[in-house]
Amino acid sequence: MNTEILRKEFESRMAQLPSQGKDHEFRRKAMDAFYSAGFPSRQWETWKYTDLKPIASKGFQLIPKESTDSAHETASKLLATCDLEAEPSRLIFLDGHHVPALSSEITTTGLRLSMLGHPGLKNRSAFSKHSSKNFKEHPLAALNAAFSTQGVRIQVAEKTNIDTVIHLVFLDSNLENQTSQPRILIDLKAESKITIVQHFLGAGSNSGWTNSVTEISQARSSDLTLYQLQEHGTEHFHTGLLYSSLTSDASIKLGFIDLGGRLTRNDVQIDLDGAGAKTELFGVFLAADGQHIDNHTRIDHRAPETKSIETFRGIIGDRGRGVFNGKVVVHPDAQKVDAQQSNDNLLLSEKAEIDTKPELEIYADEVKCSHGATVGDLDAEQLFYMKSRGIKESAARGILIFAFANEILKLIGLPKLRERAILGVADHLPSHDRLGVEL
Amino acid sequence: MLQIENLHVCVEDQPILNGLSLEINAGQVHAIMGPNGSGKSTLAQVLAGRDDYKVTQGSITFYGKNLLEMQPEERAHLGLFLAFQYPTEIPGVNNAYLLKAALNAQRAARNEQEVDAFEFMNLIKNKMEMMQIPKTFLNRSVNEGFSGGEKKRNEILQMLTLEPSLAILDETDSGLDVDALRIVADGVNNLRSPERSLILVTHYERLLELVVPDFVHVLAGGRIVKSGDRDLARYLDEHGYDWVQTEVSAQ
Amino acid sequence: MAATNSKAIDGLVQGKYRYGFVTDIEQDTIAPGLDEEVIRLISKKKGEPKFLTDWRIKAYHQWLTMTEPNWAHVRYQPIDYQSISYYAAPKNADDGPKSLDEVDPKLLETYEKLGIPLHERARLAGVAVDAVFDSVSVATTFKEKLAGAGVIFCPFSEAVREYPDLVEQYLGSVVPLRDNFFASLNSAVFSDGSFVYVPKGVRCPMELSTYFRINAANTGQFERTLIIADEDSHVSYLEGCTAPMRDENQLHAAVVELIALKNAEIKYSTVQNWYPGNEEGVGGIYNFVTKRGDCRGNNSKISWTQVETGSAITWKYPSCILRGDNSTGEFYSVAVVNNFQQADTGTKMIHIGKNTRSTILSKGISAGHGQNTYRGLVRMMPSAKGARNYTQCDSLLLGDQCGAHTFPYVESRQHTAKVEHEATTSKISEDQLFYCRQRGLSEENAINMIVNGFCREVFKELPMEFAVEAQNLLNVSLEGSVG
Repeated sequence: MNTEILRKEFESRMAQLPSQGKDHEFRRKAMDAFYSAGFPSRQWETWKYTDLKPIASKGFQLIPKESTDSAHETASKLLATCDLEAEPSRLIFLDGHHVPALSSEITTTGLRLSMLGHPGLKNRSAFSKHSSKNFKEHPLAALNAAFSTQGVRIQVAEKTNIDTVIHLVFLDSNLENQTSQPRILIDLKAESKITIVQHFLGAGSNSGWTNSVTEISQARSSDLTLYQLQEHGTEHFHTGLLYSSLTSDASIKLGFIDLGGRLTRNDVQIDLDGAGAKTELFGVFLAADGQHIDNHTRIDHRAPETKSIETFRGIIGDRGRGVFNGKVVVHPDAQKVDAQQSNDNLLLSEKAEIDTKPELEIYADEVKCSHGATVGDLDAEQLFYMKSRGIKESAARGILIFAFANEILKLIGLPKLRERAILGVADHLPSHDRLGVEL
Repeated sequence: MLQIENLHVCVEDQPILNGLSLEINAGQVHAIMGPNGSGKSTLAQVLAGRDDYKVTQGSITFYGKNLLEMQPEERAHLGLFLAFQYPTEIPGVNNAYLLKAALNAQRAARNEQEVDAFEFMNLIKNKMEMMQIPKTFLNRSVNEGFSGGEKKRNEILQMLTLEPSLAILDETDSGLDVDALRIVADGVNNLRSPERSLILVTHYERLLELVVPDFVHVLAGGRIVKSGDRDLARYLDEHGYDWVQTEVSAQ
Repeated sequence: MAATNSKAIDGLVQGKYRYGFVTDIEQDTIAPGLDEEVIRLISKKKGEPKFLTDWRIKAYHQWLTMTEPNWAHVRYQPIDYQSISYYAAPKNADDGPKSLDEVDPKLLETYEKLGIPLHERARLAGVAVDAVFDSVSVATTFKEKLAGAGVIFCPFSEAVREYPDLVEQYLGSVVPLRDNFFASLNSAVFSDGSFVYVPKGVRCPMELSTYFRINAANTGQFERTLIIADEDSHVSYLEGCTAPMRDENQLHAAVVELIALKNAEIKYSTVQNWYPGNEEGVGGIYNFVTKRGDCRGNNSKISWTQVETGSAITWKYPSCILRGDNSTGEFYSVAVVNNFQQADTGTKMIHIGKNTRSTILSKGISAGHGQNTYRGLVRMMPSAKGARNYTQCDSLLLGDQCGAHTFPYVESRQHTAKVEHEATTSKISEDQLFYCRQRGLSEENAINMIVNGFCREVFKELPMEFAVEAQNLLNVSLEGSVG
């Protein structure tokens, strides 16, 4: 999949891509940006530990085909496993297409949902004022902008508190070489509030690729909670950029749970642009059996009295590899900033590997910033203590691993989602540790 | 020695003291009591020169000089000492070094001869014994890893060494057991003299049984609402502060 | 921070550079520019054996294929490597002084001014000094006494002549000639430096010290230091550096290699006070240095302590390769930047052996427009069973125009290894300042005291004489503070 071929593909298929107004122009600009950057290589400091060759070397179908009946059958089966609280408020996407038949009718005052690429619904542009600023740093976001065929724009009106949790479910029916490139645009007006779940769910072991972009704009004192649960099939590739810009006193709470997939790379960029804006960012990632999971976060404190708290925990077993990079930048004159970050990792087996890099870049003096990182196996003292009380080794290990993850998972504010994440962690624990966990 | 007139103080635009007046003469011991949040600690911090506190009205005169115009260290050089309610930890700076540097800074400001290490050790030896502070204390970082009681005894050791003319003890008795309270009280009494004055900021009466005050003031709503002698403290101990509040609101 | 505070901070950081004088001495200098001929000339002037000339040429060709690294968090105008003179030596030093009596009195005077008296009678007892002036070593003291213990301490060029086998065996074995751009350049053109060999079972009877001085204009200084501690030996080595005040930037690209064999211990301390440039950021030394130690034997230990107050730009990462089982690496650092200084410094701890241990303690202080970066790597190789690392990086900001940055890399491929990293960044505490001032200390003294306290854990790792110098450099009185 070299850039030349991609560009040709783009030229020949552009007319079929859903576009509104100036969207065609924008898609072309995005394609140009991707063409000149190419797939990021490990020479890039931000890609030092994650190699995209497994994706770049495959011939992915960038514009997905129509879903088949059997795909719909698989989708229904997958959905049946999801008993999530906001049952009626979900939008279902399958193999790169929105599926109205499976989605709920959502009519809530103050909430406007516009589907990208659906002639029947009122179309809105798939791009926001932030879309192009990430192209250079994130070529995959540019690729998404060029080819995306699905997505939704969510707008919440001023002073509106949306009680319904919006679930965006991206299903993958196990088609070989299929690509899904969702675009989710979230726009919160002043003093509005909403909770959104992005759920990636797949089955089987055929390799597909999800390349998502979530762009968030938050006006004064708005409040967004967004959870992302990633449960792809074992050979799936996942790359995604979540970008958020917050004006004064806005707040965003973000939780990332990564359990599935062959190779996952989440990029998170949060711009705290207005005074008093704050973010709480947490994540659990579990890489076992040759999985590679990379969380790259960057928080820019560009205004005074902004605050960030970030906590990521990694559990790496078998031949898994985890990567964490958390960068916090405090810009000049962003005084009275409070930024805390921690990343703790469990390495559970001989072949497991973790690369972590917490970073602080500080240009203002009246700040309180800290970060911490730890790497190691389970605590021998704790294990011994439990064994001395008669608990067998595998159970003791399971309990400790589970407790480690649960300290973060309990931050998920939606009970059923939390439960699913907890079960998911238990399911994905390395086999020799899985036995011990009884829920 | 010290005249406070109609003092109004705000913290982050929140008024804390609202027209407090108080006069303290040489040799006197004044106790300032009051319920939580009445402004006791604010008064102590303002006297020492903390700049988070904004004086919006009123005056403070110390030895005839305008105290409010002075830097914290200039106030210390004039003999004002604050025993902090929560003494700060200073990692890496040892206790003896800070105390000696402070003593010499004050001596230098008063054109007195500075002390060398040998004289300094002689000077503090007895005081440390009195405060039951072991010698190893001196080589530890200032207040770092000290228990609550150790911090308070350390404050009194500093007071005894610096020999201030006006010492303000901000809740020095809080969190101390009976024995530690006795040690602290002995230290304070040892400093009493016709030239020295004390302000005891406290919530409880028990310190005042050991360090007997000449005057007791009750602070409520940012003003002194009642003054009396030690019997007032005893009465407060028995009856609490509710009646004061009632009396104040009745006025 | 209130305006009064910043005044006190100015007082703290604007101490004048005391070592900025120039010694007027006749120099033997090779004309600026670099090609194979220049390298052969340097090698010839030093009477080097063929293996070394060949090694230099190989390094030079390697260097030609490399590009200057640009990943560090520093900014500077491109260096014109053809405008630098790669060799400068006091004229009468061609044959090397046989004793101090033959050393040019002006040089002796220089070192007196620097506070490094070379005459044995005037010297601090127990410290042997090698003085390196521009490209050559001008004097090494206490050689006889050290020889009695079997310790070799001499200028590098002398070691090449006297102990070529040792040099050939160990040179480039820790920092290979292709290691990085500046190390390759150094390997091609290095002039002089110190050589230390401590034989088996010997505890070096005194501290060894090298004092580096750049004097000539338009020259680069490229010294090479090689320290070998044979089995069961112990040595403590100190280096100090100063340079005249000049408007142009001067390049200093040194390489230091340490080798600790079984049960051996090397303690390497640096007080780096190269000329930092003036208040506007004009002039100053570019200090681009490669320092690496190899804990080659089991139970060996290498400890780096550095106090970095000078240089316009500092780019150095004294590192430890923990190869031997149970070996230990340590890195203690204080880095201060003010005015327009930039520092990108830290360490690498590469854990290879079982149960290897490393400790990193870094204290950064930024003032003025200074930019201070900690960059570190802790790597646990699959073989590093039971290894441990603990890292603490603290940054203190004095003023709102400076920057403090922390870029630690942690890579682990061994599940029984444990890594802990912590970092904090803050400005000086208002509570601490107020407490000290309430006790009568001036604001300036209070800041001095708190900054000194902040660095104390690192200072206490320095040998006493250097601890004094280090603290004076921070304009803080030592008296009673180091317990």
